[in-house]
Amino acid sequence: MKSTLIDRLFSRKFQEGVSKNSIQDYARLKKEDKENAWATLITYVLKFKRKELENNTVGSGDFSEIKEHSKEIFLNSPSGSSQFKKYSQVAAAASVLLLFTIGGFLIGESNLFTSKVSQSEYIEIKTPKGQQSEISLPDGTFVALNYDTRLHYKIDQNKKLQEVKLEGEAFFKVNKNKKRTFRVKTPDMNINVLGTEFNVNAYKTNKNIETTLIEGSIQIDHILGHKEPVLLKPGQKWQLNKSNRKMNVKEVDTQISTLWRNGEYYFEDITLEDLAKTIERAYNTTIIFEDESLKNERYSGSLYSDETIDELIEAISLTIPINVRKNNDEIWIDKR
Amino acid sequence: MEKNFDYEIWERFRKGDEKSFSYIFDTYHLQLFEYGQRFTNDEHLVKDSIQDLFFELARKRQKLSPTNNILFYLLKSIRQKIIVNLKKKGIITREEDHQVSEFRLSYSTEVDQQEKELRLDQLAEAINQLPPRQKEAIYLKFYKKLSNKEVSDIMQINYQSVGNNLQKAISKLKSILNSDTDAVILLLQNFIQ
Repeated sequence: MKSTLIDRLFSRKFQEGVSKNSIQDYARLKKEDKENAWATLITYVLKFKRKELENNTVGSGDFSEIKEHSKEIFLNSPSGSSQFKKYSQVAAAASVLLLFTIGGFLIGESNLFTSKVSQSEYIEIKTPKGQQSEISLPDGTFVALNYDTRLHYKIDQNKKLQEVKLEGEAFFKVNKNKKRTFRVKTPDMNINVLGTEFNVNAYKTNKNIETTLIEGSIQIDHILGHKEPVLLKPGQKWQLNKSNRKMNVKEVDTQISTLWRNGEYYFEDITLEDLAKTIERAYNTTIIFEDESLKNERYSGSLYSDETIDELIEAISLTIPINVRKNNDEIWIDKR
Repeated sequence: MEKNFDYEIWERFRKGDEKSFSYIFDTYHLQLFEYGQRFTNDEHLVKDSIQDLFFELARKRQKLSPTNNILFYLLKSIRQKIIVNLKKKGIITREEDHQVSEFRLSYSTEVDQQEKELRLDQLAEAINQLPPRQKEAIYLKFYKKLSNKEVSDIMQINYQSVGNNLQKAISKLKSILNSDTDAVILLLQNFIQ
């Protein structure tokens, strides 16, 4: 069934697919599917022609008084402390469940959290295997987190967000702000940002780390094994092999780098070892290679999150001769 | 109710966790400010409404209902606060009307050559001319990604009218887009003559 104009217009996927270039295809689109072409034009206007509110001048600093006041009321509100004690007991019992959804967020009562001297707050957001999440940071930066990813940040006294630490994969949309540089830190490199959109893949256990720039400009520095920083242009993907420290930059289709946000992956010639890691994260499972040589086999193809793991393995075994047996949460792979 | 990230944060806040309260404030106050300003250009009124809202949330935290969509919860609440404050000032007078008299959402009619050919200036102008109710429905659906149920809750209209409002707005836009076929025919006719 074809979807209607309204369905398309309000679907996240469709909206994200419309870029500034989309209207160049209008004539062709219209021949194929009128509703689709119209939805594209309307989406284009809604996305790119919106006017800012005239008096949008009040900075975030102006809200600090309201925040402090609300906090006071909050802390003095009836039965605050006793209720909280009770809650922490409950929380301890239920911590497994909580960890499952939001990981270490505000659970760990470490000294960092309670330190009054620095007046800053550390916040950690974690997605478990098999789960993705989207959040807005206090400065308005939009972040989509892929499976098994950890994001860590600190808000200082002035509520300025300067940097976040990332382990895993995430898409960032950072608002332009000339007064500051936003930095994404990973164990093997840092990314310096002025308003922009980009995808970072920096899993600890992967052989390669990657960054794809979709819009704007970023600079990558503190690269493992390299002194010189790298400046990326939109449409470019930077990649570093952590073991031999070789890096390269190439032109790519940036849409592929963020397909994971729709639950899809597209792999081009990746090793079975790296594919296995992606599957482990997506399906929360463990994959064991009975024959080490299989790890270097190469695979190209797609993965959809609504696919069952059996369907996926079947697809893989079409091109790579493997035998698979399942044992609880483990998947054992051997040569056929 | 699905127990997602928002749900857990909200529960913690309701049970007195200060950091969760701060997180909610930091994450959403500017979004509320932006939404609020769409009803009035009186930014002090909007700020006052945000203050009213957060004071009330802080005071009544235990009595609040659970939610797994904090943005929706707050948009709904700030809209009510703003309407109350607009009524106090006599800007909205109709007693039983939950509708607002204005929704400031507009699009630029300055277009480049290609946009002009596709008549996006006319499209933008047509959106600018939509009644506030239809603009708000589009805003909540397109930019805030809310469901029709949530939009009906926020705007205090029944579920059916959300669909109707969107339908009306889109038909209007469609009629503009559709007429470009006529324009081509006209152009061809001119050539032939």
